[in-house]
Amino acid sequence: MSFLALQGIRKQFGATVAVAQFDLEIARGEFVSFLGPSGCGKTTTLRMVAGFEQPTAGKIILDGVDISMTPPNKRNIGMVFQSYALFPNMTVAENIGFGLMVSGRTKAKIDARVREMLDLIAMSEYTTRYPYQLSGGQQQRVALARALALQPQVLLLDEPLSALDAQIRENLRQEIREIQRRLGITTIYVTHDQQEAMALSDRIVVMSHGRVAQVGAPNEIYNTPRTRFVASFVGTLNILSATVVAPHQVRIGDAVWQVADAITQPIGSSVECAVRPELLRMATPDLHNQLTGTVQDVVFLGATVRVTLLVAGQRVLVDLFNDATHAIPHVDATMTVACDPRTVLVLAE
Amino acid sequence: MMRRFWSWLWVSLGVLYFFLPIYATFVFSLKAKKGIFSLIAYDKVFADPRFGASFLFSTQMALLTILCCMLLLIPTLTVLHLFLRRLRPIVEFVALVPFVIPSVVLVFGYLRLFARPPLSFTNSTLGTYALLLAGYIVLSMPYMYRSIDAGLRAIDLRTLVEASQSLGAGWVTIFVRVIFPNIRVAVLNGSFVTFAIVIGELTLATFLLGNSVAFAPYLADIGRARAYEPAAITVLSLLLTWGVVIIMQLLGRNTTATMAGPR
Repeated sequence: MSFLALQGIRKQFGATVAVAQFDLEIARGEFVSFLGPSGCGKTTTLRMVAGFEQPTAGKIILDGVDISMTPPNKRNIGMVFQSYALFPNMTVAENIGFGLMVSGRTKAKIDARVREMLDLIAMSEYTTRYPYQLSGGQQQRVALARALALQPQVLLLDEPLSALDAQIRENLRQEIREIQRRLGITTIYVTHDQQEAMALSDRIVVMSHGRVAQVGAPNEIYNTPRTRFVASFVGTLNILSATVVAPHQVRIGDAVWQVADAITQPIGSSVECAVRPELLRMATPDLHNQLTGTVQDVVFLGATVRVTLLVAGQRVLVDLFNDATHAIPHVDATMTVACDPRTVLVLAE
Repeated sequence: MMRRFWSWLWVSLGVLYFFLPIYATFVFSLKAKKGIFSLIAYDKVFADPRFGASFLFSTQMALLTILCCMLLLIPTLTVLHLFLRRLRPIVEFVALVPFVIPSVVLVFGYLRLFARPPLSFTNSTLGTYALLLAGYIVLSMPYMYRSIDAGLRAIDLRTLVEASQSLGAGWVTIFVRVIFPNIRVAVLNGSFVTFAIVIGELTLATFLLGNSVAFAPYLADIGRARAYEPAAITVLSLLLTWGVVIIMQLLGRNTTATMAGPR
């Protein structure tokens, strides 16, 4: 049985449907990310789990108990907000101890637990500081400690790192994951950053227009996206117009490509084929699926070199490893690339 | 150099504009005895029991007014900000209506409604005080409303409330430990203005209580018959008012409501 289940969840604001249909089961201790563009319903769904929004339809079951109508202050669900939401009038220690104070713990127990949480986030020397005296990363650590102090059943994080700069974001991301693993707490993380979702999660729920587009482990979402939206939202994707010539063959310009999965569309119909830029490489005689085009642009990105090819009027991005022993392709050169048939996706709508 | 000169010039003009009348009043209050400066006027004021009693009464009414405004407006504005945003323009309009209603209209409305059965508040002292308090609340409401509204807008109210709820807090705890401490400065600002309004309010107090109970009617009454004592009372009331304001300021110090959050 799942630890947290969202069954038939729907949320409407007047005539606007924010979440159309959401079903998900989360195991105890699992780290699940809700990933999607702005307005896809991920934060609304998170807020329904927290109790800040009531579902229009559906149920939220936590450890066998229906909490759909339970007020947020009775759910024992911790939350970390994008804006940190630290109480400006309280010190770091008072912020972390707030939930413990509300629950009626003794001062000794509060102090002990606050010390424990400060050790967890490595901020023991900051007890008497106020939020305005902390950096963004420090504030978010305190917010995390505050949410965890009460040992909640579920931890919710609503884009907690989006206001931080890149380096701090990466460091804190790792810390969050380590703390979550150490405590074994069931966690839902909302983000629009696919790298963040893939780095942190056991599973990712990709959402679009209030619905679940795909649920899976990060490698499943990335390598076998089920829809065009998932394929193009997660990672970069080349989408090429093609014509079906056989159940496992498509024509792209003058080239005929093999496709590992059977194509359901009839022969002669137009389809869209997708292949990731990093899966295209310089052509060798053993590779079947080849494309020849003219180099339009070359961008040096450090570890990779991104080449833009024009092939039969279509732009194709190719990510090559930066090999210092080989010259970088130049603009207007002719270049042939190829890929493995197993890496070609024929997209559903 | 020139900018500093002009800055000091404008500050000096402002200080003169504010302090010159007070200085003139103070000097006038020292001239009760012809030819010399003396404190005779002050001696007479302190010898009058009505001075202390009326100022104390008005101070108590001011503090009660502030308390009632806080109890009325903080929860109302919190609900407006969180749940009923569309009603904000309407409530704002209602809160500003006292600006356009003269006190004399307000007090005659009270007398018409509450000086006869079944709502005969003016038949008892307590009832009359309650009417006066209600009038003061109405007169100070625009100022307290604006101050508290500005204070609530300056904080991320919704997120702070939700963070509190996620930590198990109920509404009483949220108001007492989260909302009020973070709008304390705003409430204090409104309280200063409210205090000044109540201390100086003449019409309501005169029509409901007469000339001797509240401070402003007492001051007006003294001014009809004497010259130097009203000046002395004015200086003393200024000092007392500043004293109360400083006490309120001290009570509201050490606010660390500087908003943290994403920079």
